[in-house]
Amino acid sequence: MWRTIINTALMALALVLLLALMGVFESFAGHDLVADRINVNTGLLAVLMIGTGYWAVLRTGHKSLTLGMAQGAVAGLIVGTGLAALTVLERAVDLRLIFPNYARSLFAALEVDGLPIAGLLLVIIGAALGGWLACARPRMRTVVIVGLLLTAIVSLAGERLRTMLAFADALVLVAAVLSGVFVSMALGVRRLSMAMLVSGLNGAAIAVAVILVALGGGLGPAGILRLGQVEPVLVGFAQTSPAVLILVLAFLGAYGGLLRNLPRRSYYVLQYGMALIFVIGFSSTQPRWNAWSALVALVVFLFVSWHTSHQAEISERHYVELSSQAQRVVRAAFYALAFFGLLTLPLFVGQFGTNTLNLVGLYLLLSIGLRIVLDNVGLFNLGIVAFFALGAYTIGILTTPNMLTCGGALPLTPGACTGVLTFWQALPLTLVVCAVFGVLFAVPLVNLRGDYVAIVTLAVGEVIRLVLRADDFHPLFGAAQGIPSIPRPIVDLPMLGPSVQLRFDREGALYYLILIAIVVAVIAASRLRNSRIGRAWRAIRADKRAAQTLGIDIGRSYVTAFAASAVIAGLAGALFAVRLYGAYPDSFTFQVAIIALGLVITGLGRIMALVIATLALIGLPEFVPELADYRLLILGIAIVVAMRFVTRTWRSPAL
Amino acid sequence: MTEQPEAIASSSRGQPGAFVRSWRDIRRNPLPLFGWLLFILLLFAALRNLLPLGQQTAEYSPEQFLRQIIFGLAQGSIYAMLALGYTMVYSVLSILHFAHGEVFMTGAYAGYFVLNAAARMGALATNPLLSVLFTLAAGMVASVIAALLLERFVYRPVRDTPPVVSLIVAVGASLVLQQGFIRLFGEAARRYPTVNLYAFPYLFPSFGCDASGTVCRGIDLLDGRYDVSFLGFNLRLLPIHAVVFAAALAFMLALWFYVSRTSAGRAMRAVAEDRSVAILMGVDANRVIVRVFALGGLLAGAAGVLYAFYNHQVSPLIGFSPGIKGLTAAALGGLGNVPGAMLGGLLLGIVESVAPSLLGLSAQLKDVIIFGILVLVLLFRPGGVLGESVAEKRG
Repeated sequence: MWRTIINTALMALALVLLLALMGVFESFAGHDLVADRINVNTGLLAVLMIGTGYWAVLRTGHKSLTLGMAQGAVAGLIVGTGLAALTVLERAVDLRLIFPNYARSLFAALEVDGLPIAGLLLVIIGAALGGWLACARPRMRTVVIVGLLLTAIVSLAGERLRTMLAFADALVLVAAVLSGVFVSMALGVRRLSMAMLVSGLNGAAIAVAVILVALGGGLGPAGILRLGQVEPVLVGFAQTSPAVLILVLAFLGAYGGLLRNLPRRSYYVLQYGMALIFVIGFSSTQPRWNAWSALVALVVFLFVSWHTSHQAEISERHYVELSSQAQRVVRAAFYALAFFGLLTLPLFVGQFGTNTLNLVGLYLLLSIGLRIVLDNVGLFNLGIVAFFALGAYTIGILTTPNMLTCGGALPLTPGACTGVLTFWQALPLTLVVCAVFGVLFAVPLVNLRGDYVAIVTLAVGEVIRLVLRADDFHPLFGAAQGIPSIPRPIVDLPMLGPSVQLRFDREGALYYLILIAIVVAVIAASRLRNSRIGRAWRAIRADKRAAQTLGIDIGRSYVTAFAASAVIAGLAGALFAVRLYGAYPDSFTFQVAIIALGLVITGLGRIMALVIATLALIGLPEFVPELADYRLLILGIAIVVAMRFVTRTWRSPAL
Repeated sequence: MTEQPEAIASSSRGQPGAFVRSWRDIRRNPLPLFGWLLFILLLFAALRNLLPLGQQTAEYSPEQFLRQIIFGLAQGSIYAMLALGYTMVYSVLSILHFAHGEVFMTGAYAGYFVLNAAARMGALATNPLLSVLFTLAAGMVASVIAALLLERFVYRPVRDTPPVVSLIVAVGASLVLQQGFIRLFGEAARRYPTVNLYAFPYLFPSFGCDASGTVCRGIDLLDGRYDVSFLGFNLRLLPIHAVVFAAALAFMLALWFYVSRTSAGRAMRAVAEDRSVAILMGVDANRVIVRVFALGGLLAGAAGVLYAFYNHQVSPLIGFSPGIKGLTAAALGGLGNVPGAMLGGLLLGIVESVAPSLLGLSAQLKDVIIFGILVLVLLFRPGGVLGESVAEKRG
């Protein structure tokens, strides 16, 4: 038993040393998890130690709480001693010639609040906590882990998140939903429609009250609605009118009546969403992401995860008892809320946040494209980036001035001639081109086994990139310079006036375009999956030869799958080019394919899992610039680890 | 091989070698005809470039052609050594060892550290041969360790899963290794120390003489370049190319001997043929698999150090390109086919070096040509040029 613990502790020590040599502690040295209190490094060390204690005790297999804590503490003590020895050692040895990222910062990582010893104490406490977790009841364990993890992630991105939502907005939003729950419960409303009506009215009443407060000077410089540094959007009435507030709150309030009848997952989403809104809102009242913000976040997340862990089941039970028509209404209402939330998101998150969301959205779209083939047919398309590039370049060639419109005179003088088509004319053509390419792409793969499919797709992906890069095709693809100055889409609205235009030239407007594309892609993908074609795909994944004997046309299935995949990935590419104002060959390296693969693998299953994976792996590094260096490493580890779990489902027959 | 794999068979698979059989076959499956047409077209383009027919002859001389062939042989030896790793692992486990390129890179890095240390201690100047041998050994050992770690912690847990699972895990592992090296040792390329290893003073008495011309140390094996006039061709020869080729040949001969003449090799072939039957016959399959990974790592490590010797630098990204070339070579030769991998590697190196100028294309497109050939070969002969010699184990 003690041997296991010592082994685990030594492994953890090796891991910490590896991280130190990689320069992880150096990268995060300037980044506070909690302003002026806890450094990210200390937090990282704490997380590692909790993991160590947990793992060590789990491996010994004991279930006694005190013994578990003691074992964890011993593991922590070993690691702590080792770290102390290492900090002494690292001053004596200079390894920068071999490990250029290593700057002997292990010592600094152990500092908490200026006390060098405190870090070691934290190491032991963390490991003991891990040991306790391993022996705790499963529900308790989940609650604590979820609470700590969410707090850590939110704290990591805290400085950026803090500026996104005003406290007044957050309070009003959360209050509308929660008071709706209480009102409908207090009044004892049985029928769902009545409950929604009552809580909706309640939301409207809150809105009226808020407006009255605002009229009474609540929006003044020191008014009650101006808590914190962030300008309220909803309550501020600068961009919206009071009528919008009433509508929004009535709409949201209605969900209070619905809340206890939602299916399990939707219940989770709504609860955690409200918790996040509240935490971000609260942190906006603080000058930085400080101890208060972190504490509130911890308490709120712990409470919510504790609360939802049994309430979600009750809610699910209520949902199951509903009539099927009512169930459909509940589901539709929830999707409407989710869509509404997504629509209003750019109002809150600001320029930077919208930009990040657009990036996340594009990767999401690409992953949906990759997923069609990977998850359904079970084929690994390493050449997905070819479709991506094709979409970008097709839209680029069609919408920018080139040889075709300028009579072959190169170099082009800017403004001398325009593109062949506008974005909207070019988009369908682009998708058709991608579909045709997808079909051509699939033809040689039909007779190949899975391994060869991977090699061929990899080869084709590289070929496309190299052709785009090559000087031989400079007039068409622009070689290494790519196709610059792709215009952003503009919608003319002649029915509203001669020069009324809907310009998608800001990030915020592009967001809606990407959102629509994603929604369409998700719906199309799920319809395809459950159609006759989709069943054929999954039959092939389960057993290609058996599927063939059952009369499934392998060739047709491959062609349709790759065409669908190509269209969605091409759409992502087209939007990607529009977002970057250009298509450049270096945007379409093999790495993009691997990133998409990582997203699909870590987010296998429901579309929500893919969204969360994309947010975590693409969105979070944007919020935490220090993470960007480690993004691919984390992605690789995520692929390897996630595949262990995926294996279980993929090993069994797919249907 | 008595039984040919069925799942990969296309309609032209029935009679090996017969691309086009009869008019009816062509009507049913016109792909081989297109293949021949394309082949003839390429041949025509190549001949037009090489023979003094057009204007391009002035740019492309036979000397260039010869030089490219020699360079291609050296490059191809590297690919062949890598392809052997892919193909051996594939033959026993039926998985694509996608992280093999990173194993190769690991070897090059380990070699760099040893060589660098030798250079700084002065051992490189006083005893170059020993330093180079140590470098080679360090690279091989590091690569073997990397390959064994991959086998134990990455491939073993997903053994006997659908091919796509192990492939994805392999891609992930390759990413982890590459990015881990970037973080650990920095993304910047590091210069390999210059090694002047003089050899054969009696064979080449007029080479490597010092300023006074009294002491001649022979040719510089690793860093020399010599202008030689041979049969009327003026060539600039780099001994390193010959060294790489000879080393690769030696390694492959040793491997061939090991696989075909030793009992361990017999066990390996047995596992490749049918793992479960081999286990029933008392072969420790686990041990064989570990050995295969170690052998692949050994070859990859040697290849990595040799590659770094003539490229003069290492970076964490050098594994990718040779890695996929090695994979391509293995696929060209037929996955699981050991002679096929050797041949495929050499062929690939030569084609890569010669084809762009032969076809009148820019060197940027050399990979396009290679991958184009790969796609064509797999289209018409899905089992590779020499055919697969691996028993069908999974769908």
